[in-house]
Amino acid sequence: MSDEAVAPPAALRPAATAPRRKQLRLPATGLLGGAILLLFLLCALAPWLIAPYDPLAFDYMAIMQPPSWEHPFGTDNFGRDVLSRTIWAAQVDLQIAVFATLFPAIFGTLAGCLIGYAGGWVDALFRRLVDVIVTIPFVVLVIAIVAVLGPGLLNMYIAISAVGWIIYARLMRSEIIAQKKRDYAAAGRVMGYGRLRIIFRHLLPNAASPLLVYWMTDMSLAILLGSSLGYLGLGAQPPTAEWGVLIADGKNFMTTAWWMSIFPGTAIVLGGMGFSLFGDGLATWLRRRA
Amino acid sequence: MSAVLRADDLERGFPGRRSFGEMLRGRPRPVVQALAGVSLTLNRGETLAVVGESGCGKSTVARALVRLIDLDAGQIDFEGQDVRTLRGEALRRYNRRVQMVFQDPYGSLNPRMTVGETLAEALNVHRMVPPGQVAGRVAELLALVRLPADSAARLPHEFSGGQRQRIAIARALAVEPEVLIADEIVSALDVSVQAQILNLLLDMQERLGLSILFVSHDLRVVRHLAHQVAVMYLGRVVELGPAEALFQRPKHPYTQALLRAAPKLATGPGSRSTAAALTGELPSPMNVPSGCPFHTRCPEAFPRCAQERPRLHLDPVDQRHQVTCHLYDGPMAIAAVQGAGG
Amino acid sequence: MTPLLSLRGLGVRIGGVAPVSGVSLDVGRGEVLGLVGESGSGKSLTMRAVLRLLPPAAQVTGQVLWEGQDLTTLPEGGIRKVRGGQIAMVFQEPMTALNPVLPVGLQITESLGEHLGLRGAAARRRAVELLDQVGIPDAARRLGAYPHEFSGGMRQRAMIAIALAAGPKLLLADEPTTALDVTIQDQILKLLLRLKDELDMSVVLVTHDLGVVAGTCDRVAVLYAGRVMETGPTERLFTRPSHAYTLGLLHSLPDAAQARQRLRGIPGVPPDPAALPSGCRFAPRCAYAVAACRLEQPPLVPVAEAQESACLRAADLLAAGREAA
Repeated sequence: MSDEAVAPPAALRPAATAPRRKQLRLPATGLLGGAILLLFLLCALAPWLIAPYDPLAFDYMAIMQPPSWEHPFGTDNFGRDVLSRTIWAAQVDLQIAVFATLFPAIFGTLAGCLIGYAGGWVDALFRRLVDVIVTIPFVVLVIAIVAVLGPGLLNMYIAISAVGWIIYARLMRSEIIAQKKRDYAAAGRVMGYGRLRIIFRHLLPNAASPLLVYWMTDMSLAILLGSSLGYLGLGAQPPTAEWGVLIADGKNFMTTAWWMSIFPGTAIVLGGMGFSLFGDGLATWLRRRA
Repeated sequence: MSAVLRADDLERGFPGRRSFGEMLRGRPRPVVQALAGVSLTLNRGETLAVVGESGCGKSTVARALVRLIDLDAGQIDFEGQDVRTLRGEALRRYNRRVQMVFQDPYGSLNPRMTVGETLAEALNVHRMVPPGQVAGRVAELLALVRLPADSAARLPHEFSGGQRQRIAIARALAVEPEVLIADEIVSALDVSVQAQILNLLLDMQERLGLSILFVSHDLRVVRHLAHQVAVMYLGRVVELGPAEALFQRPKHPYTQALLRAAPKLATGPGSRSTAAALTGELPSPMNVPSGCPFHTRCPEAFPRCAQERPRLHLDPVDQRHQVTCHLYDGPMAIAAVQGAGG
Repeated sequence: MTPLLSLRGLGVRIGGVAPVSGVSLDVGRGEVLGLVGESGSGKSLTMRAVLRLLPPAAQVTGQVLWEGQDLTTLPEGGIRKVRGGQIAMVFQEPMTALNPVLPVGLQITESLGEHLGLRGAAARRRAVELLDQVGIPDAARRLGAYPHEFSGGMRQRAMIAIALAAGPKLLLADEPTTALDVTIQDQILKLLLRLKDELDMSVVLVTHDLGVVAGTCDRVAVLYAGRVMETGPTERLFTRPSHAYTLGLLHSLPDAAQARQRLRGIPGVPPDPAALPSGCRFAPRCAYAVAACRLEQPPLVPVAEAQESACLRAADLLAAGREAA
């Protein structure tokens, strides 16, 4: 066929994609979120480098001092440095963010994949389970489980995981169902590929972005939940520095020593914002890339 | 000519939708009869085109042949084995030998896998070549469908529709199939690109001896590829025959209308008639007309058409040319069609 | 006689790219002009530019002369009178162009009220007439029906009825049959031809299918990468194309009259509007290109009676005729 031979190879090359490259960067808000998270990560990984004082050291000479150059966030009712305690608390709270969501995310993803691909009665059963679970408020359910198991971080993780995976599974299930309808899934079946290969090699990578974004948001929710439970005395136990615990410690002194609760509170808000902004930026970035 | 793939009396219904009101009144769920007794034979090394308008069941046939859709009734025969009963390893072996290319070049490739990965996966899963030779074979496949060698490292979104369709063809050919099912593979493409893909199919058939089942709504495209043509209407094959005979001497009034309606390149006087080839709309597939399903739009219809399902008639000269129409029932009827068809 | 609509060097610029540039076209009275091109040729953008239906970010250059008046400089009130009133448009996908939550009849009477001041029973009567005219059976009863209750072909008929409501002199039809089945496409095209004669309109038919043009249009303009490559009477252009691209398109198109054989297609793909080749935009894919083709965009010049071409090899192509090559 002579026509084809005449063609300069340039015409057969994939279309230029130069304008797209610029869009491949994370948006500014996402970068801001990322920066906040990085700061907290630093606090969590090496608090002894950043915190000026020992978070557990009592100093009866400096009890409930307002913010000053020596104690930028002030001191608490035992004279402990609030800044140092807030920094050390990042360790516990980031740990909560990860551990309270890791199992639900992984197990929920696996379950969602299999349920979505299988369909039929497996799916119907799952939908009934979801119907039942969503009628009970999430926090109430978690508190009920912790109440049975007893307070403490480990039991809190177990409680959150037992309930939290369902949200991931539901999200993944609907994504997989949407992807399953696309022709590349059918093409995989016609190619004679096995079920697991189609699910995990083909469908999962295409269905994962919304999940990844939700995971980020969920981490911020986990910090809030962890803090709430800490505040209620069901999560981290004093004297462990944890933002919720710190706020709870300060609640009796709100009128006389506001700094005891305000600064850890700000840390919670900032941490939550960090995950949310980063998650949003990630979502935009993934959307553009698709 | 030996048959490589034969379908007999395929039937498949899909549950349709009913409104809330109909549900309250206790109406049964309607059934869309996508395939109502379809029989086809694909000969080795030939192209069988399945033509029809939307809702005629042509894509359902294609998907049923590769087992993407289960059938309610009927038989599919591939080299003496009943395809409908294949399971597990046997089904995968069958799928390797009977491949499919899809209509939408944007949806049929995994958007997160590079072209090289997509092709290599097909080669690896079916162990087509030793692991060390996979990269070389990928390059050969790209050359075969005339894509530049550096395509392997790229993602599908970097390619145009036509190039993606080449990738999909390369993937299908990677497993060295004997049969290729092509479901409307050029209908989403520009005219100039469409020609390239059609030529590629002709080439592949010549070089690899492929048998092709080509599903299309466009008779013009079909003419360029097909040895045999099957015309479908509302889940039934209304006419079947060698391409030459079917295009030159269409028997069924529907085939005749389709040929008249297809835009032609001829210009000048007579090319601009204002009479439409066919009046009326396609009936709802949930409510297929009685008798011959085409009688509501047929210019030749007479009372029997509304009452009786027409039988299959074989052309007395060329028995491969078959038509399902009451016009061919008796000597009187044949005179009628000669008067009308010209 | 002055043309009804005349585009003079029309260009559209969006962001840094110019998907349409230097398009000059005339539409005569009572004429059907076919605007042919592949995806990305700018054919739909050109139509939208005529009625100023482009997004605000798009810059339009050149002139759109409607009965001697430049539409590009007309104030918003003026263009609204022309739009729908004198020039109407139908789109490829009627489901997105029709308002899904309003009955079809209401969408027609709305247009009748807006442009002709018809209301109440008079508007209703006229709406029934229009639906009847476009071949919707049982028109009076279908007035209250919603778009989703219509089939694809019927929706396109309803869309045409709405377009015709104000009695336009020009109908812009943007791929009106691309989404339809062959037999329905045939019906709609025949309907357009009949309406054109009955209502004494001109029609611009935008399409990617030369076959549709052959059976429908008086004159053709072939667009490629935002520029007019060739214009001329339909029969002339099909038998004696004077642009290498037109010839390539004709060779690409399968024809039911030809048996199993290869097509002489065009290699490669149309260029990205953001990275247009220098010189003739078709040159990189052209089997006839010579060195001069890559230097400068050839202007559209007359090559024969009523036929214009922007191809340096026009004379050679005309001499060779369609079947040579």
